[in-house]
Amino acid sequence: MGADQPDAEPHTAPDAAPYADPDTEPDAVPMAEPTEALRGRRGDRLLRQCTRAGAVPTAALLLSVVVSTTAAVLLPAALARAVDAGLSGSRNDAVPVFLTLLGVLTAAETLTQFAEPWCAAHNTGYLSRRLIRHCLAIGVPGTHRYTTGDLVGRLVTSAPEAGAASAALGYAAVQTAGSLGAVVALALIDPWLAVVVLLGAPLGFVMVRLFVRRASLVATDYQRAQAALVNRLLDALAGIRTINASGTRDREVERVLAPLPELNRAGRALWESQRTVLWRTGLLLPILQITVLSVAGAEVGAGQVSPGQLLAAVGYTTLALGFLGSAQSLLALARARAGAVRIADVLAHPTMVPGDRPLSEGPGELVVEDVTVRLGSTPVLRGLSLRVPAGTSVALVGRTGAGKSTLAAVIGRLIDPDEGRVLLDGVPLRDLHPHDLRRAVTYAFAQPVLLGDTVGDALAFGGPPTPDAARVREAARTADADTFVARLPHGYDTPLRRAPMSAGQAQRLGLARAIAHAGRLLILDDATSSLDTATEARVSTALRRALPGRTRVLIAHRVTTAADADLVAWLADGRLRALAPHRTLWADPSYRALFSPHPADGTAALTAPDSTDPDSTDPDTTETGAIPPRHASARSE
Amino acid sequence: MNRTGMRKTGRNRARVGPTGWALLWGQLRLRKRPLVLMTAWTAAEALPAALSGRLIAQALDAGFLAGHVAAGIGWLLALGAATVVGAWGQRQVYPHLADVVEPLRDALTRRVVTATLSAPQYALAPDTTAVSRLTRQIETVRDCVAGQLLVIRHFAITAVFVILGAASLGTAFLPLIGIPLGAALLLFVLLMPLLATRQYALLAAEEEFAHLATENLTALRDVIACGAADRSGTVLDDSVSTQTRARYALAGIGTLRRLAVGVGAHLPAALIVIDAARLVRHGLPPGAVVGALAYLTLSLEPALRTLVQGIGASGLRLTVALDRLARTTSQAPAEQPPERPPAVGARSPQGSGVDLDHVTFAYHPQAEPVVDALTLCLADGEHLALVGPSGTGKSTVANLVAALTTPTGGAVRLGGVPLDTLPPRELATLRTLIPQQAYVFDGTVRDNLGYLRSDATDHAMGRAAELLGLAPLLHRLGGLGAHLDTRALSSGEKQLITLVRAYLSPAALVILDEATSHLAPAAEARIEEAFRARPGTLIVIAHRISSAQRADRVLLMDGPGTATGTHRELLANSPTYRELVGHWTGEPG
Repeated sequence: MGADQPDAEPHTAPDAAPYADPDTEPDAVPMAEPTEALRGRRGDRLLRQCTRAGAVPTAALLLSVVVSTTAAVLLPAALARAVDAGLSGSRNDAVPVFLTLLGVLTAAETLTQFAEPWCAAHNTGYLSRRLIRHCLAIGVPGTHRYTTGDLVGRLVTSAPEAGAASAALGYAAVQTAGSLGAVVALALIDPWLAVVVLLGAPLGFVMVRLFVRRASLVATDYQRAQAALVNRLLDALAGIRTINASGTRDREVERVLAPLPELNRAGRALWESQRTVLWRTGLLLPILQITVLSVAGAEVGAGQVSPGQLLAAVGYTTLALGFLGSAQSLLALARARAGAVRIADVLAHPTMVPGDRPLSEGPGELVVEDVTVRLGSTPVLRGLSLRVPAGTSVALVGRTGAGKSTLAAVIGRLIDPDEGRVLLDGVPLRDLHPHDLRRAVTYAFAQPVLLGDTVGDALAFGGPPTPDAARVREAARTADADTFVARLPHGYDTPLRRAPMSAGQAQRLGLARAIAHAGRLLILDDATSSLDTATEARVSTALRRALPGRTRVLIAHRVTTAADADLVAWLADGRLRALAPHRTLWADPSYRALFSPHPADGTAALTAPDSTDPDSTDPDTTETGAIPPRHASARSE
Repeated sequence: MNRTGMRKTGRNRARVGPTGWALLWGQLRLRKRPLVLMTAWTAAEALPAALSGRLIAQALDAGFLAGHVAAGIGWLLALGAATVVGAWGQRQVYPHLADVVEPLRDALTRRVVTATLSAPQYALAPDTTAVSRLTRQIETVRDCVAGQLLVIRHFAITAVFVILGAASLGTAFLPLIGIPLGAALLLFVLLMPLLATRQYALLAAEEEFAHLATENLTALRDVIACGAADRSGTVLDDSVSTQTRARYALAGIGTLRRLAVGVGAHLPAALIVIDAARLVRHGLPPGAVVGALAYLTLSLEPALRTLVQGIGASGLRLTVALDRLARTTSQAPAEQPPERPPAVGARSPQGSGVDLDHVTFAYHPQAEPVVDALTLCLADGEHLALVGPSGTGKSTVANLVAALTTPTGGAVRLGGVPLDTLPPRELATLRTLIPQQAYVFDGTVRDNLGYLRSDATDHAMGRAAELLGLAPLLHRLGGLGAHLDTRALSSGEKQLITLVRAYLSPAALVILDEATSHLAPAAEARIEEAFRARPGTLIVIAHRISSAQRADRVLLMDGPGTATGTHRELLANSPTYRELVGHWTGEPG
């Protein structure tokens, strides 16, 4: 699932998925990598949609921010009047005005304190939901483009970052507005005061800029040392069996910790740079305040400024320098936009269009008509046609890369073909309603991922209809899983996370899950590969007995599996080379060669198709011992 | 740590246990000196806070209002000097802060690394994401401890100085400032547990969501194939809603923090303004009123704001991170278990023969045993191949023989001596296990080859390299002294290096667990021949059938079909073995 494979799903449109997403823009079929400008526009559009969806919290935030900024700018002046009134003993409305303003400020700031996280939470929720629904609507093709970690990262990191956008924008605006208001207020008290602040402020700005740059340099050193340490730890952990067997743990601890002195040094340098900056910027505000005080004091002496106004002037100086903090808000805003872009990128990925036709009763005849599937520009299936008669079992065989897994994915509509169509009992899969489609077609995989709280839940997972406990047990028996489930601490009620399982046991549970839900077409994608041959034979006999008359398509690597099927579909280079019984095909030496990668030297890998480690499954070792990169994974074969 | 451990088991831990704080406390106790010095410098740092109101009052009353502009400016210059002293004091705080948190980080890192490499649960399945998370938590502790130290200390000293300073301007200010500030702090303290509960609820909701998202997206193919897309959508939507509700609840409490600022800093200012006329009538100079207000607006309000904003969230992050670190690192001993003194009459192994006596291993008492009552006797110098479908316990047998796993039943003997009586250090010289995943580390080629025998000569290394087919690679790398870039080596090359390493080791028993899986058949044959010719017992977990053909004896592992014999005997007697060999060599099953 290389992230570099451009996804080709030209038949899909973004707005008719089971989770229809009305806001996804139609201009965004990612046939080619979109430009940065387009991505930026998509991100901004998403933020606008998000803000519209959260109009109430946004309005509350806006209101509280505007009111509190206004109050904050008016307050020092009101304080000045109130103080002067108090000092002169005159009775006017100055004190009540001041108290009212203080009350309004407290109320507005308290509301901001609520509205900001409210807004952020609302936005985050909106973005997370859209992303989740879109991921589900993209379906399996999405797994070719995005890894789970990538998507989870976008959900848990990018969504909250983007969700904070309105707050960040609000703060940047407030700080700027507050600063401007404060400078105006200073000028109203005494123009010289405004001059002092306007001269000092750029100095502060330059120093903050300087700090950010210096600190990020030192921080890079720190992160490098940290990464070195983590990498050493992960390396050692990967070799933990060797380390345990060699009794060299203490030596390894020291090796892992070797970058620690460097980390310590970089850490101290980080504090040192912070210290230098604080020494400089920490002086800026007090020096500016004292200068303002001196100028204002001189005016007090001259009778131009009252003592209360002197106090107000100091307050305005602090407020005027508030814009220095807006650098941080702008940083947060940049991060928010980047987060929105990362989410919008996924939302631009086209989804699979669900059909709406019901599926009437039928025997389960599968017809593949002229199907072509491309991964990027490489065709994996090339105009393949195949008819699987109802109730028969067909084994798909072929070399790695022949297209077996892709065909298995296409015939149950895990992916759509680029050309051609697949019909089940005469109805194209593309037209089928998802509920009917999933009820009719059941999959079992080589590496099933089990979901559910308990083992029993994992087997009943899916539907509706959800199978009852008796049916689940019966299915487990058929898949030869009942015995080992019974030996688990709490049998079928054992929490899935606490059930230790080998690959073969997981595979049998995956098979049991499929049997419990079995529809008219059963697709076994290498679903018994981790079972030993005796178990496999037992399971396939039980399967035939338990599910008579079901159409079965299975991917086979073993001779026994192929021999067991009614027909063998032999795939080569994305085409159907032959469709015939195993006995008939066995006469062909190149067919026999499929089951023997090294017929000449007798060094066939013993565990090759069974292992879960992709490196160890590749028999094509070269003379130097290096393994050529595998071109196909199980999913994108 | 014992004491806290007892507490942990003795009481049902509500959310986060005391173990984490005990861990931090134990570390901070070692750093009293920098902590004391930090506090001392804080007093200097807070000097402007102590003097600001007083000097402003002086500047007004004795200067500007009295018509002495120069005197007024003089007093303000004194304030300027105090500010410089304060900034200088703050400057002095940082090196001591670094002396507290940097060693703290070092100590925690050492604990985590030691615990991770000793943790039994990682021995079989290393959880790399958990490890990455641990290192991030160390950074959280470093940042939060530094932040808390700075904020709390700064606030405490500022508050004391402001009250003292205001009182020196007029004792009338004392109740006007002291009572609301006390009430605000009380409100804040009462708020903390509620804040922590809601913050923790949010954290739990976030983790649950991350977990569910990972689970469902990992299983996306299965979710779609099972027709469970609607169900997954609902489950994740619900989780998002839970998370959103937790954020709302936290935001609700957050508003009370702003009220604490209102009560603690704004209310005193309002009271002073209301009372100003009366105070001035009673003889207080106007400058004193302005000075007291300056104390509140310039010093107390910003400090209080920082306190209430900073402490809640970062305090909880710190608690959680500490708790996780303490829990993970307490699972494993910090030091190697002391070497057991040799028991009276303890024997040294005689030769390298291996006895497996009804050896059973299961991951759980009720779980199906992976190895069930396996009995096998290997003579000194014998060469055994283990074959069987994967998942039948071949690697488990390798672990049992190498004493990496303790059997749940039966006994394993090496040279006649039970494995569990052999001290780890001696064991390391008696047997070596090379797993499929080759461990090669950043260092010289010589370091890597001599890993199991530091006194191996260059000559011995060269000979072994020649014998096992490493010589061309050795040449390409630039000899024994060359630095190994582990990322530039292929899997096969790494395996070759670890095989030469094993060949050089003093151990007479060598276990190769698919250690040649990335090598070509010819290279594999050459290596197995070399190990056969080496004195001692050889156990090979076979990746290819040719390994079985070369061995003296073959152990076929296939659950109830487990059998031993030579390759020919098994071909003749075991249908499973025949099938295993046969379906790769051309017979229909």
